[in-house]
Amino acid sequence: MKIFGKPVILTTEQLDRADRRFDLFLPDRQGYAITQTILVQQTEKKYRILDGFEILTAGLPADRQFPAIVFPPDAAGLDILQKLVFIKQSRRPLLPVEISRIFRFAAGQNRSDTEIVEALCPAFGFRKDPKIIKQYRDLAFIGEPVTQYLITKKAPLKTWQLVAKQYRNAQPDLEMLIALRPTLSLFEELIIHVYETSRREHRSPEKLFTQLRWQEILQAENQAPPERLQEIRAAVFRRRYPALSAQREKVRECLDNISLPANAALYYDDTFEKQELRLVWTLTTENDLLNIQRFYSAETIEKLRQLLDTI
Amino acid sequence: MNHNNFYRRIYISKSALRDESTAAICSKYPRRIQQVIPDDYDIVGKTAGMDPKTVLWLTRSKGDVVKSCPGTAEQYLCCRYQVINQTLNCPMCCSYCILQYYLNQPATVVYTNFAEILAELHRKVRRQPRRFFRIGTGELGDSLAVAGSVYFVRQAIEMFTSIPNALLELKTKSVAIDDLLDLEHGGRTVLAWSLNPQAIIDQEEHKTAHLMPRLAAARRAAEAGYLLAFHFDPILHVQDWAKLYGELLDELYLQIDPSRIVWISMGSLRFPPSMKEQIAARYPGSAVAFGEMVRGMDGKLRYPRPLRVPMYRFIYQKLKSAFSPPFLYFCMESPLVWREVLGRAPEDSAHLDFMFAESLYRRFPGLMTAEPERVNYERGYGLEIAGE
Repeated sequence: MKIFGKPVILTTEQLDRADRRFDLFLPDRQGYAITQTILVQQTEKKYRILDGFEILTAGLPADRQFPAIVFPPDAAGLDILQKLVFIKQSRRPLLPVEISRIFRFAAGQNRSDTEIVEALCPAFGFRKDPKIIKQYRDLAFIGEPVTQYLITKKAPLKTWQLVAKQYRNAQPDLEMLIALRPTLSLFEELIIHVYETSRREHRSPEKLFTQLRWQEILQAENQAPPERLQEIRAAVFRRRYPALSAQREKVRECLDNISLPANAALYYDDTFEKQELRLVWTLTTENDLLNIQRFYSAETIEKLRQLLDTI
Repeated sequence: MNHNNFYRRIYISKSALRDESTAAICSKYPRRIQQVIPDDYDIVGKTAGMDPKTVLWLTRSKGDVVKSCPGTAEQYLCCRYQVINQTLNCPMCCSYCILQYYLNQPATVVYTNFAEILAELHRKVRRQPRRFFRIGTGELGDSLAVAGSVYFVRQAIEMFTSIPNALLELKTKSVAIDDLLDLEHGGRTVLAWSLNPQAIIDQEEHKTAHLMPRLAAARRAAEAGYLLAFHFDPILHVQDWAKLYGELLDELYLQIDPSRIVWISMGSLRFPPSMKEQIAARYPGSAVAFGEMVRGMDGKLRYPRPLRVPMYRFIYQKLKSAFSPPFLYFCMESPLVWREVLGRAPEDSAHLDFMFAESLYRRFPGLMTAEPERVNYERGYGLEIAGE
């Protein structure tokens, strides 16, 4: 099969806008300029768009001419995908969800996993391992808003996979979260903690969301988004680490009883592996020195002792 | 449970053919394909994609096999146990077991040069005659789950009868003790079982013996004159842990005379953070990786102190309630936890090592030739570098 021949000059009206089977590349949908030679496949009547779809959204006149590389009508789906992957990857790294769509598209061509692996893994730069397909296949189930969030935040594959595998039925819950524009690290922290808690408690993330009052907290209109995020973060952490949270709460109560001068700071190991308090003084003025003297009263020593016992 | 049907492929290094043990071990697997390979054969390439648990490799050791237990970071106390790494890997499948992720051999390795290994052991132990050693084979594999291990320990048991300053400990989750009961052990071998409630065995300790058969095997071992030990390690924080462990502890003392038990260890679940995802992938039904755990001072994940100390206290109080309680100790715990549970802590790992000897001397008259002296335990080294 001859693929890369001399570019052919086509007009917009020769393209088949209805045949979108190769619409696999997400960011291209937002394109508004002719940025590259488009790839097409000749069909009986027109040319099927393989790549370069963005130029169609520019509302170009029907007689606008442009160069195109034409795949012959007999080119098989897997062969086309292989070439597309090579070409696209030479222009930009593919997103995990795009790779997922390509694998799913290939599977839809009635090709075995072995054939898909043979044809596509080298093109992606992956080792030839059928497990790779499994890793990517489910990503396409992620809903559009969450997909866009993960693309924008440049989420790593691991995050895509966790969302796809564990939150397939909880997309509305995740959409509530991303509506508040959390950082990627907070998003990841929350979905990891909820997932791990759900595994420990043998219940689904959706069930856990209900018990955590997820919707109520995230949609509380009397609070600003950062406050809502803070509250849900605390709630999720308490559920994930109940004993640790309870212990930290006890320590906080002890600390509240101690009037620490402004030039002093008190530190402790919040995992409680060490029973150790560190009191750090910053001395700048005479008054700072006097603060030390005033601080170590018998009453404060007793409170410090209680704190030490608590940690 | 017969773990000898577990292997799909058996490789035998050519040099191992000269060891008597090789033929004996091979005879246990008459229906398995056995392939003799050159000593420099690329077994890694040939077993790619295979679970190392299903491949058996009989070969000769190249370096030292008798070593100090690596323990963990110095913030946690270790008991200075000595190990014989004659078998590497285990056919049992405990979800929490670090061996599945820690060992990088492509197969279950059984070293067949028993005579050399035992000579190495004898040589090293002789060099520190005033110190009493606890030496075990159950560090990098179950002591009794593989035929090659059992052949080895049979010889080791007999050899330990002539070593005055050491005990051999065989740790297992199996009941494969039949081949040991008729041996002349001279009271210098400890048969030890790792214990957990049956509910946890069902959920997390696959292909191991059930609890009651383990206890029955321990009873038979005691009847054959063996000393016993038990290891509550890892203790898992599960729902109803107090009920589950309470029933187990009651059963233990119901079945076993505490005066026959040389020591009992306690240790809560711990593993490197990188193991979390591996456990989740390998054992999708297990929640063990998702317990409430924090990163300890050694970098491993472990339950936070507010969780593990109450569990330890509960278990310790039960174990301590016996008329003649065994020596109770923690594996890889901080002095702080020792104090919170026992009210005291060893000064350091060397002191803990000495405390073992002291307990053995006091509780088992005749086991040691002289009262142990602290000074002989203060040097901070193990077998592998002593006098080398």
